[in-house]
Amino acid sequence: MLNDLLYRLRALFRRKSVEAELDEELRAHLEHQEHRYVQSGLPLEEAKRRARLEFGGLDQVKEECRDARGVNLIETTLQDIRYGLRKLARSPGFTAVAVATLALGIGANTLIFSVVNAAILHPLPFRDAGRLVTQWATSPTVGYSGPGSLTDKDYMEWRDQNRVFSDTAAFRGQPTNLTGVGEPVRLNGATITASLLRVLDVNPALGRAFAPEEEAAGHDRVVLLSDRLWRSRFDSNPAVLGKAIKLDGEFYTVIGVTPAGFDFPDQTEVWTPLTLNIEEHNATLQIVARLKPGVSLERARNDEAVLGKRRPAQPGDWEWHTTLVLLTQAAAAEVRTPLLVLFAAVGLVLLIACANVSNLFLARATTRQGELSVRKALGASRSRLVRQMLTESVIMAVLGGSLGLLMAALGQSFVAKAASLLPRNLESPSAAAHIASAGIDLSVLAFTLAVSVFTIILFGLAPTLWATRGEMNSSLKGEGRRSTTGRMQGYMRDGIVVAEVALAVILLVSAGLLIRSFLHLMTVDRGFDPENVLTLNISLPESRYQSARPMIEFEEQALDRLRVAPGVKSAGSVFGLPLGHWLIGGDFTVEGQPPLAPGSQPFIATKAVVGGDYFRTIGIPLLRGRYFDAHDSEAAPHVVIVSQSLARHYWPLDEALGKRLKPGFSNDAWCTVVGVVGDTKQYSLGEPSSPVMYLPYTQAPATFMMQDITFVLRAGSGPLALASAARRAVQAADPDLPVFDVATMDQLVYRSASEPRFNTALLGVFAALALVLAAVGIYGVMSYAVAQRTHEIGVRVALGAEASDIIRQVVRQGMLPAVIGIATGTAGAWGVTRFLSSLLFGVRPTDPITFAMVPVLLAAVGVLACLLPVRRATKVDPVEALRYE
Amino acid sequence: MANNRIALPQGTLDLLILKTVALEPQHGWAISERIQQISSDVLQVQQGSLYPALHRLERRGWIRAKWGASENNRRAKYYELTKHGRKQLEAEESAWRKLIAAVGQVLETVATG
Repeated sequence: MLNDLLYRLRALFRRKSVEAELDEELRAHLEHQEHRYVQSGLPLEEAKRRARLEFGGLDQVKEECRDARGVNLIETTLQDIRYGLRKLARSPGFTAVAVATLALGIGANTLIFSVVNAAILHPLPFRDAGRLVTQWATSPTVGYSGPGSLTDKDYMEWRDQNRVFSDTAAFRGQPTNLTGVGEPVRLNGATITASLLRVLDVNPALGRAFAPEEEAAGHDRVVLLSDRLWRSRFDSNPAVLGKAIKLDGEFYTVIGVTPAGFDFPDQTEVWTPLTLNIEEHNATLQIVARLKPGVSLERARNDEAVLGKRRPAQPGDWEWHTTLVLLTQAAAAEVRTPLLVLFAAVGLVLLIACANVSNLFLARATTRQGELSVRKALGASRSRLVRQMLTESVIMAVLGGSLGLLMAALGQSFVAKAASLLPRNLESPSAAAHIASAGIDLSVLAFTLAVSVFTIILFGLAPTLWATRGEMNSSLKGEGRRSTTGRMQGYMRDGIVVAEVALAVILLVSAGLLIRSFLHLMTVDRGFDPENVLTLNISLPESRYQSARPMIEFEEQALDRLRVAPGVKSAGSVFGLPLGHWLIGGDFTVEGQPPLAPGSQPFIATKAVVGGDYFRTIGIPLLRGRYFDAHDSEAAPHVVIVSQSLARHYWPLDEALGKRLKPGFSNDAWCTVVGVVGDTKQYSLGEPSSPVMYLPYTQAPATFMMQDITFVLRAGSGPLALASAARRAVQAADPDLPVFDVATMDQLVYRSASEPRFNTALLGVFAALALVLAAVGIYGVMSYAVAQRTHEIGVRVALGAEASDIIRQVVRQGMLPAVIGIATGTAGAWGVTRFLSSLLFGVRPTDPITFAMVPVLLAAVGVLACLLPVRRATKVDPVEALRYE
Repeated sequence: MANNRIALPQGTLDLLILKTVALEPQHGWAISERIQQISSDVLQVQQGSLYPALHRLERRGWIRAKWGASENNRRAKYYELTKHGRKQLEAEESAWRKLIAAVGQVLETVATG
């Protein structure tokens, strides 16, 4: 073995001397033979001639010796590469189209794969992130699926009694106001246990993490800053350590800065220690824990401490299912479906691209039949020919793959820029944001190469095998088209067209459904009038507003100032703006209604608190009764306004006005219904309008509904122009209050549709790409078929046939594969679109309009693609056509 | 003369070469001459097969090449048997004899039966 290798290596690297030796050796043989002949009496010339004749082909023997030496592989491969490059350069049209097609397919795939990689496969940058778990809760009643929460007591039991975690931590997201360092600003904050950084295996870039003692009240006035905050607000100055900053009116000492890119749990900028309170009833903590080595998720799920955290079901209790999931799964949950849909779509595009290039190579192989036959006749082995054609395909794939990688990189930066313009949902990052943060890394590179190799096998081997299998004789005679091989190749080409048309249909139907769904989303009735409405948000810090009175005073003052600000026609306030930040919902009690049967699902309504001229400002119509007014003060009888669907549900035949309900908070009072307003969309445009109950600000049932306020203003026109005046008005009422998220209602509506818009746009682009590729494919095959039949067409034209007759007949024949493809694709789409239902609003996955339009579109494009080459062929001078054979 | 020549079966060339160089190192031409001589002109080795075979055997490590001076004082490439080659030769020779014996037996039995 070793000998063999050494021999080969020597032969490879010292080629010249080895060649010289071989030459010498064979020459020696010749001379010895000559000498023998001379000795037996022949004259020298005759001896030489005889010897040479006897020896045979010198070069052939040399070639066989080289073969025997076994280095042929490398030498011939280099030769193949050179030859392949020359050949590709000589047909630039073919090369350009094939490389471009491949590049598009591979580029799009790489781009989407890097996103899928970042979002679904490796969404978390922590060490061994696959061992981190968190609690996940679902409730079919409320339609909630997301991170679950525990009470402080739950967490402490979990932490102390489990046997499956090596470390546990808890955290709570808590937006907070930062003041005293430039403009007051609202930040995403989080209170965390000291163990969190340890669990995630993250070390502060500057300073230190929290010590366990700092979790106690009184010692917890320390804070960690995010790298981004440190750079933007503190000039990356290391002297920030030890500095005191004001969060929500309280001083905190900076003790550290987290590393760049760290923003757990969600774009967090400041972290403060969490103080556990065993008495706390509300479940507000999220947990994250690291599994002990060797412990499986299943085992952790069955751990007693974990199981004990299952809430016992109570009558009227919303059905909660809680389970332990991997943190990576939790992080990817939101974006899984749309990204996988995109991934499937782009995979289809790649297949179509491969089909096209395959056909290109197939056609080329057919026309090269002559060349191949000659080479075979000259003694090339079949494997050699196959290897050479494969080399061409490899070169093609490498070119296509590199260009594709470049396109993916460019595409990614473009998409990242576009995606960064879309705001992230505060609760969960969107698919667009994931794309923005994805980079092109090594695993993506490996994937591109794998895809390139895959496409080689697909378009390199298939046509090559066909090309070299054929009968060489007939191709030497020029009968290529009519031979069995020619017919086989024809069937292959048609089959490829059927496949790519079918795939294109599936993509177009999917895109069509999404487009229709999106249009539906944008035109659906929202229940309010977003035109010319400006919204701005503030958050009253607990430290300065400790009871209801000062909050009411602030609210009244702010509204007074806002009402007189220039350009403002009316002003109001709300906690629970449709499509806004703070939306809460829950069950409630209605007077006179029978108690809920155990196990049945309670009726849920959104609960909002409004002030000023809210309804008029935002355009929610009054259907019965009256709006709130100055009479509905703190001390006055408690009142409530309900939305129409709530009224219809409880009092379908009766008058709703005058009925009473309890809003479902801890210190509830009976509220009388004084008005019924129209339904509005609440959480998103896609869901049905949910029932809402509105309570006056002065009678808000809980202080947390008074702390966070959204002011809404109606302007005559140009609502954004009011922004600075509005800000000033609010800050006149309280200068230390950051005003954040100033946006028009139109912008909010636009933003709330950003996900579907993004998905639809991307899928639409891929579908369009698929359509173009399929059209190019049909055109290519048709051109080739027509070129083969030029002679026949020429004869027919010469014999007096009408051009239109010929065109019609040829197009009909050419459209056959396309038509089969359309039919197959439609049937396939029928079965496949059900996977899209989670992305569709108001449109069924079997929407008849889409399923009718797409085949027509594709058929029209197909006919056009067939028509062009045929028309050209009939215009050719019949004499020219006849001459060709 | 042409009628006496029998085509050399594929695998046997290797065996003949190994045997020939087992006695003493030879160069290519001499090997072909020797085989022709000893077989009384029955076995004619084509140069087209001899040299590739020599290179192949050299690659396998069964023979080793050395340059030296030939009878005519011409530089020639001499091949000699290696240790591995000797083992290979023994193995192939014994296989060949077994084959001959078996074939012979069949022919004899069939002929008389």
